[in-house]
Amino acid sequence: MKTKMATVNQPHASKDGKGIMMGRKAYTDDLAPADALILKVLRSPHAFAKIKSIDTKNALKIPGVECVLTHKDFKRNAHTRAGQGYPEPSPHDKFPIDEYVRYIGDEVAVVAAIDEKTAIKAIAAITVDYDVFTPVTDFEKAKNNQTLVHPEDGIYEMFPIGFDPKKNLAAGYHMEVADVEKTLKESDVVVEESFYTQAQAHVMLEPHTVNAQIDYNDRLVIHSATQTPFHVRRIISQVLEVPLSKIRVIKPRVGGGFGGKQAIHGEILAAKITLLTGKATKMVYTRKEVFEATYTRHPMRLDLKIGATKDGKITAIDCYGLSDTGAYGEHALTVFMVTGSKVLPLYNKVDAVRFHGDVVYTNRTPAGAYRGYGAIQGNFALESIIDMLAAKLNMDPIKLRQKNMIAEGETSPIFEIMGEGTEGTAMYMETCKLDYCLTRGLKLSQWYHTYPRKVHGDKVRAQGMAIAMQGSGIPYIDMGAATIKLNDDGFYNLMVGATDIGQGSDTILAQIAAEGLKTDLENVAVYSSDSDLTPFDAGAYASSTTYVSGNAVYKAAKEMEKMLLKEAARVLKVDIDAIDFDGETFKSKDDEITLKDLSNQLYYNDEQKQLTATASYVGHKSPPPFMAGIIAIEVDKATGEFEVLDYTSVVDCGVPINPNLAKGQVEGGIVQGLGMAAYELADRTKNGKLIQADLLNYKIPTTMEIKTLTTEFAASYEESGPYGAKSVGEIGIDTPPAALANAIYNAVGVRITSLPITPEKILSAIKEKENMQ
Amino acid sequence: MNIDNLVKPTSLTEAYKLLTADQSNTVIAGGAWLKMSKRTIKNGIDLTAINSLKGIKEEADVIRIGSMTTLSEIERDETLKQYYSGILPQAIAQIMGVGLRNLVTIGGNIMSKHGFSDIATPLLALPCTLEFHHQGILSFAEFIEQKPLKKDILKAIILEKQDGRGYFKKVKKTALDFAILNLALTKDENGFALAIGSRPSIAMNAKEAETYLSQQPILNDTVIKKAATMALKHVKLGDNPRASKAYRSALLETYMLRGLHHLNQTNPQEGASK
Amino acid sequence: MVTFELNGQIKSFHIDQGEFLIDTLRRHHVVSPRRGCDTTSCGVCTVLIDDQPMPSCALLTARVNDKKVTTVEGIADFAAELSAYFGKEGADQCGFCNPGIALSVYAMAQTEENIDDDTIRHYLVGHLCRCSGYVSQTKAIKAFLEGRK
Ligand SMILES: Cc1cc2nc3c(=O)[nH]c(=O)nc-3n(C[C@H](O)[C@H](O)[C@H](O)COP(=O)(O)OP(=O)(O)OC[C@H]3O[C@@H](n4cnc5c(N)ncnc54)[C@H](O)[C@@H]3O)c2cc1C
Ligand code: FES
Ligand code: FES
Repeated sequence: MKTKMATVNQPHASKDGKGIMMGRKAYTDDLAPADALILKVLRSPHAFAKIKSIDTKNALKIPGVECVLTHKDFKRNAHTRAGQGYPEPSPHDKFPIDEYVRYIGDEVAVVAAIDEKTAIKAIAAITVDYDVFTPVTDFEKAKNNQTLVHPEDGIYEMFPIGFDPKKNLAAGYHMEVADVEKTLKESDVVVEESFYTQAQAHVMLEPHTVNAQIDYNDRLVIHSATQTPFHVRRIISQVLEVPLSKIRVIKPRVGGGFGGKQAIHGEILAAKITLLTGKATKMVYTRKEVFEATYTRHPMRLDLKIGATKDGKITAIDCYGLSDTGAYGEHALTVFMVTGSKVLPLYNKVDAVRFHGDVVYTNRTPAGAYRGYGAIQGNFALESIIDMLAAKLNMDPIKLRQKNMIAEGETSPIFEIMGEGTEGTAMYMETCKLDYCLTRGLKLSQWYHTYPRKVHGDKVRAQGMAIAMQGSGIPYIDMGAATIKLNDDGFYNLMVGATDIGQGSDTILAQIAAEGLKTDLENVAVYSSDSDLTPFDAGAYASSTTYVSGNAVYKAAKEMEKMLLKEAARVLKVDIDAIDFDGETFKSKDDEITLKDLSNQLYYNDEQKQLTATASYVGHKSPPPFMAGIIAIEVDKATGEFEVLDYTSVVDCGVPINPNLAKGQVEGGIVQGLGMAAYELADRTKNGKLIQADLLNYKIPTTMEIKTLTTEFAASYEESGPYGAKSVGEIGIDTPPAALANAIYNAVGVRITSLPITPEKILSAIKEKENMQ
Repeated sequence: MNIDNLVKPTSLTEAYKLLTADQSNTVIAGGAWLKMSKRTIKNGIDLTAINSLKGIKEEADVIRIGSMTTLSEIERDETLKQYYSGILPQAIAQIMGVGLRNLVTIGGNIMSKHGFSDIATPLLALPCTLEFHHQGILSFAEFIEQKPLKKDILKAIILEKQDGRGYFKKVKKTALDFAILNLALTKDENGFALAIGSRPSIAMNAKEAETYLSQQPILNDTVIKKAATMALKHVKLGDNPRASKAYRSALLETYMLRGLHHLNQTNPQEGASK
Repeated sequence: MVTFELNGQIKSFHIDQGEFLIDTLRRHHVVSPRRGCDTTSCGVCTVLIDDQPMPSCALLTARVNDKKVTTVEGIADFAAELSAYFGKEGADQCGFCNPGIALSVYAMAQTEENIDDDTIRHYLVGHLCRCSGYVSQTKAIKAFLEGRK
């Protein structure tokens, strides 16, 4: 059902933008108690070692040092920091601080001191004697390596995920529909290639930050820059053996997350020291720590084989993947599965498809959740090989896609087979405007005007494209809930566990509530994510907030409206059905009362009661958003340098609840994807040290690289979503790597198969090609 | 950086005395680069109160740039914008953002001897000398070769007034990145100067190519190609995480060709790097 | 002891000789300059010194003695107005980069004439933003400057 909507699908400014721009206190560090002890972590300089002895005496002698904790001070409770629903599909392979250090940056000791200077001094005063081992740094040699990243006992999987630490395997997966090898053999054409993706860093501008204190109720209160406050509470409780009821986790304003704040970071250390000392603590990661000692995207190698008939019907896709989870297995299995499950169904008409592989441990910074979550890796490989197949078939890559890609009303067996860590959910594409997205994108970008290339001397203009899909939450697992409270004077509080991490979900959820209650956006005050005050929510990940939490808000608003009508009917002395409510006034045939008056009566005068409506939602499917992304570039043939001229995105995310914020999600995703595609190197030395561990050397796009973006939405209405919405948080990031690789190919005829696509790689491929000719 | 004490001398003599009084005493210019070092500085010598170190002065035969002049001041200077096609302000405008350029100084850049310096490269291609408090005047090339660097205070960068044209190119990944390679090429009545920096080491001249070019009556494609080949042969390039030696060689050759063609075509007024 | 004009008021603070302005300000509850890096690379900590943007994370507090220091709290109306345009363009997300940007835009508006996209980018390039994709920010700033004419 489509009706003209008043608040939803309108470009409202975000509710919090003004206060943030004006510099008001908002983020975790702004809210830390002034007298908080400053925590600093001594981190391992070795990629793999065992601590033989550790001496903290000298550190403790420094005036102002409160305490120094090492592995001896923590109970060995294995857990996963992943910040997922429980039981987690990630191995419990981490101890708060361990006697082993498994990557450069792993925790060795934590110091609490009166100020930063003292804490840093104390860190320098700790002496550690390490038994240094040869690390596993090459993920292609990790499986069955004689060095085991996790030789210890007491680690385990919560349910079968392919965890086998004696082979350096954090997880593994295998699925096959029909007989892939046979189908490939029978195909007219087969293309085969291996693709490599790098350990992209999140680079959210706010570093990971946490503060902890004990309040006057003797409860542990934690403010954390997190995407998952409820998971944080649960994990702290499990690891430190504190009753859940004693812990309150508040998520203040968060300065960007992108998945990097889904997993826990300093919360356990801060909680532990606050519990131990009774004093407030604060931990702000340095940028170097964010790079070296939080999480990255999972680097992968994907070996793809694709088969087709002569006339371009894709018959089979075979994908073997090797994913590097680093020292700990956060999101090892699920990211890997998404690499298949949110990519392969794009070509749903194949006769056979296989997706399988290993997720290995290595001695490098752990990988974790990251916007795109496997799909960007998979998309780079699949959408590159589609263009390679087109070239081999001598066919227009657009035509090849149009012939084979998924369409509205269709399904893929993969949806039922593959979920996130578990089996999936069968579903049909009730909305899939991919075809429109593609056609519209071609038109906006004037594709055939430049295709395949335009040459002016050394400069070549060309375009490249890719299509993508994502999901909307994790069905049957992740729940979101919302509470709407009516106040005197007739305004509402909307309390959600959903975490606004800068993506604007507070505004979007308030818009859904306002629409449901037919009121103005200003009349809904949102409060998000305080484990004491707001209802449960799994958190901001898996593109779930708009769809899952949004549905919860929608239901709560409907519930509230029902309550209001009941009260109005009582006051107006008519049947509920006889009342007309426009958001401000309840009208019966001959009488009326305003919401304001009704609320004031309810709270002060007559049959007093509080009206509160709570609803929750758990998805039964995960309707994918779709998009087509087209990049226009100019390549310098003589140097391999290229400039991004434009990026056209046409997106089907259902009804965008807030077109402006949705555009922000898409464009932010595109630019982050371009960062991975073109600029963001994450190399390690042989010893496992990250070379680009600061913003001097790790280069994200700046305003000079991104001059134009063209972004549009397809008209689309997803029945199961709140007011027709699907998700939009991740889809934007998926296409740039493949689109850029395809554009480079169109421009200069070389195929780059490893990210990032640097001018140096392009030039060396051009020279190689020239030498061969 | 850890500073125990900050001193603000008002004269160079005083500053120099302080500088040489203790091994860890250090001159602080913008302080942006020092900030990242792990050093502990007993006495930080803040040069901001010494007025003679500030600003750009045009004199009869020279342009004097005080060592404490900020990058922003140089970037905006009208005289320098006209000097050798404005390659110095052009190069400087490509260093980080406005905020950082308001803070950091040309003296700090020179004295840091960064391999990636986008300032050393154009200076090496310009008729330029450095004036120190103690050592007096050094040519820029002498300064680059001085190892280890003597403890001294750089007073000014002195640019000889000449009619010439120039070309500058910084190859980089993103706008905020260090150079993968940079080139500054100039031409005046004395001939050509070709400086290549971020090799990844600090800039050096392609001397043989300079001599060769200066002897040629006309600059045609063959001459330019030969000069580029000579530069490629004599300029030492290396690897670092930003690029391999092989890639730097390719860049050097291409931009040497482009730069020389550019110098050959433009008149001194239009010197934008391409 | 250092004395400077902070957002229109003369203030004196006891400081360590080696301390940076960002830490002095934050310790005294002026929290809009925030730290996004350790290498003067992100622009988040930007403040105005005598109306010119500078990174407060690299500026010794001792050096701003007698100077005029402006944080976004000191240009509240300007920032509020700018935020409305960010809202209209969907350019505001996590906002961590926004106070610094507001200050640079303020300095630009005071310093430059005939501001075009290139001028805006010139002032914005030192301000990393990981959320917005930049284009909406540039558009918002342009519209804002139009609106002020
Ligand atoms: C994030 C970042 C990115 C940068 N990117 C680039 C780039 O792309 N290209 C580029 O060319 N540069 C770049 N730089 C370097 C910058 O241009 C300056 O070179 C650097 O900041 C040093 O200048 P400063 O004024 O901060 O000096 P300081 O940090 O104060 O001093 C640097 C050194 O010089 C000494 N010194 C300073 N002035 C004098 C003097 N007058 N006499 C004697 N010794 C002196 C100091 O004792 C110190 O050892 C970058 C700097 C930063 C922080
Ligand atoms: S904190 Fe990044 S520039 Fe100052
Ligand atoms: S809005 Fe998040 S960094 Fe700019």
